[in-house]
Amino acid sequence: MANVQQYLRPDVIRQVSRLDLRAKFIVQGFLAGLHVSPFHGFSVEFSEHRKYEPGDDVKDIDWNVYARTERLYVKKFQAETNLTCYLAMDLSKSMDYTYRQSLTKFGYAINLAAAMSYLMIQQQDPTGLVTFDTEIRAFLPPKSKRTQIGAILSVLDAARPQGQTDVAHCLHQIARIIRKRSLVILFSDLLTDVEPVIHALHHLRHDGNEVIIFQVLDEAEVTFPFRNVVELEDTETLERLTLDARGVRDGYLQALAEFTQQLDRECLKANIDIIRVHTGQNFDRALIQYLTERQKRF
Amino acid sequence: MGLSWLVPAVSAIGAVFLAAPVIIHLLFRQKPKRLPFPALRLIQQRKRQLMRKLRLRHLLLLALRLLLLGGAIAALGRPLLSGAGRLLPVGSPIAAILIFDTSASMSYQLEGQTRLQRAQTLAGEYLRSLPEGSRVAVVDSAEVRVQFRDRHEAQVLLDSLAIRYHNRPVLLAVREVLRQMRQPDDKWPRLPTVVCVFSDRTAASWNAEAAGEIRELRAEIARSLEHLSQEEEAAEAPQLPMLYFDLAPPRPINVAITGISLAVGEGGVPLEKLPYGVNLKQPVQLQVDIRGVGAPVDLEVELVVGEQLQEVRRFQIAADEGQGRNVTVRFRPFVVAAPVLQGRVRLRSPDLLEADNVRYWTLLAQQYRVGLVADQAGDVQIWKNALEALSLRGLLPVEVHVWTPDQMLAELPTQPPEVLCLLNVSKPSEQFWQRVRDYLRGGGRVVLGLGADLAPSAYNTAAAGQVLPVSVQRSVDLPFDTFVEVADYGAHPLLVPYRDWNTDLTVGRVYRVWQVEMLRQEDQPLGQIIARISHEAKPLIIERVFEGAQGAGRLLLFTTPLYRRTSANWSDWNNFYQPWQTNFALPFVTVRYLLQAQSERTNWLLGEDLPSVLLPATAEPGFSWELRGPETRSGTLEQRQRELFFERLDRPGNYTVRDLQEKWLRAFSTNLPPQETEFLEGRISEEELRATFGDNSLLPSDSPVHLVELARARLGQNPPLELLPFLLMLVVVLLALESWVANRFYKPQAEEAEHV
Repeated sequence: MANVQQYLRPDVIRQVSRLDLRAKFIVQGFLAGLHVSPFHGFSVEFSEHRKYEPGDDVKDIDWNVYARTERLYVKKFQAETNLTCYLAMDLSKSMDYTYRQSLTKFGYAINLAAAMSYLMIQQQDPTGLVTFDTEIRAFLPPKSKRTQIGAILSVLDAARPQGQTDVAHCLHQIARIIRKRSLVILFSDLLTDVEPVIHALHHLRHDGNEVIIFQVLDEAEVTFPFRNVVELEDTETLERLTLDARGVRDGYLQALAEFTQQLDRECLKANIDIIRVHTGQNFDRALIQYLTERQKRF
Repeated sequence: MGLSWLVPAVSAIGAVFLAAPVIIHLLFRQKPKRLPFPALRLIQQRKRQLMRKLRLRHLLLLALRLLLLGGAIAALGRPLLSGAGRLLPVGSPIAAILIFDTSASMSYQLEGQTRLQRAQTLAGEYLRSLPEGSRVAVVDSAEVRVQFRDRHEAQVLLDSLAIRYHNRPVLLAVREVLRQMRQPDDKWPRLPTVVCVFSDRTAASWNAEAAGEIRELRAEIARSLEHLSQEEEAAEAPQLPMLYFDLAPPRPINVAITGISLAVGEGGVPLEKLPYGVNLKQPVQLQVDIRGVGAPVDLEVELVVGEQLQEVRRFQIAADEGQGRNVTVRFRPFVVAAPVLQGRVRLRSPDLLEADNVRYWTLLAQQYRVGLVADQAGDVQIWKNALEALSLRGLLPVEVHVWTPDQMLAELPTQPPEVLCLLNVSKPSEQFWQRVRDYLRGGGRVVLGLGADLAPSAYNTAAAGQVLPVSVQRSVDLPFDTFVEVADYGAHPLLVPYRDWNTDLTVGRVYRVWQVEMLRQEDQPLGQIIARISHEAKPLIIERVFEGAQGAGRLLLFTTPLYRRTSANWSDWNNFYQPWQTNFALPFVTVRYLLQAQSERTNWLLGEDLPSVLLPATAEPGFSWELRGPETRSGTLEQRQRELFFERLDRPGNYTVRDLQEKWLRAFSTNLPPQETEFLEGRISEEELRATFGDNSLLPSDSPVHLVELARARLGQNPPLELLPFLLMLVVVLLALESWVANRFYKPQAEEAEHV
């Protein structure tokens, strides 16, 4: 099993054209490894036994065990999934960017989304998909059927990032769409004005939703590896700026640090998990690291 | 500070390379690679801050790199730093013009040396410091001759310099040198030239007009000598190097006789302004003006008359508090018994300048006879009083004789006066006119005023016509506002004094005149009208000149009386003697004019004018003369002339001029001008010197630095300092600095850490 995991690393399985397989292997490897799903709920499936204690519902007593052991145990069942998950995918042109990595930010985000949807549906949690740029472009209602993964990946595979984005506006729309308390997982680079986005996230949180943000950046956006005089072009606004890359590098990195610090600060205040990844990282490792930390918290 | 290059070609080519980085950057500027970058907004948010910082970094790096390159190129050129501004080349021959003030003030003693000797010492040291092959001209302020010689010959000339009492302001010598320098002849060396002036800042060494011209000449010469500059790359405007070696004693101590005067009343008439000598029979009193500068001193002042010590006065001059103190000493009167009397006044003092402690004087004892003729003795009183008073005051040594017309007839042939004043002769006889005519033809001088009660018939005779230039017709009453009319005070010597005194003769009113008519001979008027009255332009003063063997005789005719009576029946003809007029004026001006030809100045200041003596009227070509005194000369007249002029008498003293038979004698004295040894008053300021000779020209004698070394430093002639080691050090430092700055600005990518 270990060999299979080693062989089926994300950078290998990206060669496989079918995204569902990628998600399956990635998440199976993840599940078969170190972790248990953190999403406990009420389910019809048996989960575990424990000693009967006064006050427990007698209908839960496992009489078969009593017959074999003459001890009272109650059966504990996995709860029905009560957590609906929405995968919110940013389709802005900036997501379709890579400088020297094999995956664009969008591709990287799809891999993350596939993994998360596989994970959720594996837990019988209904999972839906929202893609947006300046408006919501596609909406898949949440379902817990296994075919939902294929549907989600099919939509994502067909999507093409283009144009500008309005994350805040779209998050407000999503907040209005969601009927009950849900988990919203946002995949975006969030290269936009922070204040409106934060405001929209507060909106989601105020409605009782849990929010996880995967901020996906390109490796070049994090390290600013350019040299000499370059003309940089904003992929969304098409604005251009000629500059000495090495000269502005420190200033840019400082600006990026301030930007991310502000996001982290605001997310912490709103009790939102933000996972910042870049395309130079192995995303399964980033995912595992996040989920491990999250499990520790719960 | 001056910079020169050992390998100038390298630095010149290198300077071109200095621009290479910029040119290459501009010519081969790469088109920037265009890259998409979604996070551009983060850069744009702080674009201004980033760009400004970046630009500063670029500029700093560019400056450092250019400095580095420039330093390396400069090092290759091997620059040399010379001591002062790029005035003269280092180590190459130059032309030096050394101008010396040799006036009397330079004989001031300080530390056992006269100022001139000190100047000679300094100049000698400077000469020896000049590069081999240099050409040197030694110029004496008393006699400007610019001749370039080699250093050894120049040293000989330098050693021969001596104090010249007859001198000129050193500035005139400087001006003359610069004028020659402006238009140099073939003998002028084609070398960079320095002009050194050795003087002591006395007012006598200065001349404001020359100073102004020197400033202009300096600029002009600097432009014309530009091609001689060996440092054509010098950015600053070329200058003519000039140095002023200030030899003024810092705290002078000196007592000087500044003048001798003839004591008159409370004041005195300086002997230099005494044109006629003193009266032979009247005692004269001399006074000397003494000026003390510096510490208080005890003095003795001696008056020597002839060769006899006449009087010694002892006194002290107190401390002057930096302003100088003036004292006047008046000696006892004495009578000048001989026609010519010479003497001297000497100071015995411990001061440091001997030249101005003695002053020479010459007095001519003269006595001009003036005959005043009138029918009534009272009519001459005004003129008699005036002339005698003038004689007493030393202004006109005259002996006044009052005669009736008959007495005049007796006196005239035997003892003719120098001037005959016919103030009121109402009925002159034929004999009277003949005597006057003969007197005039013999060179006599006559003033004739037409009296109030003259008989016109007696003035219109044939004999009278040989004397008078006019015929007298009748007396005419004039309107009240008739005044003396003078169109040009400079037109006749008689009127010139009025112009000099700034006195307007038109305040003179004339109420009545004798109407006269000009006599003519061969259609030419016999006289010249000198002044008229405003009414109908009637003549007031008419002059007739008589040519004779003894010289020109002159007659001045006044058409209005020259006397005034106080009797009740007297009616004034004019206001010439009213209190607001000067009683002395008319007699003084008239008699002095008529005596003019015989006045003679006997006291001169060296450098002020040319001493001259009047020759006897009988001096014909072949007349031999001899000058005796501190300097001696002799000569023979080659043509008829009235005066002998003595040029370039260098030494002050008493001189006599005589013919070989010693029958004819004249005398004069020469003295130093008092301002020559005046160290305080009018001392030339350092600002004035700098303005005239240049900002760095002044070399103060009290400077702690050795003057010659200082001069060499000012002229950039100190051994140059090679800057190569310093430049290499600078290049290393710049290299390190550039590397540090560049590394700090652009950290290697390897160090780039993951920031997220």
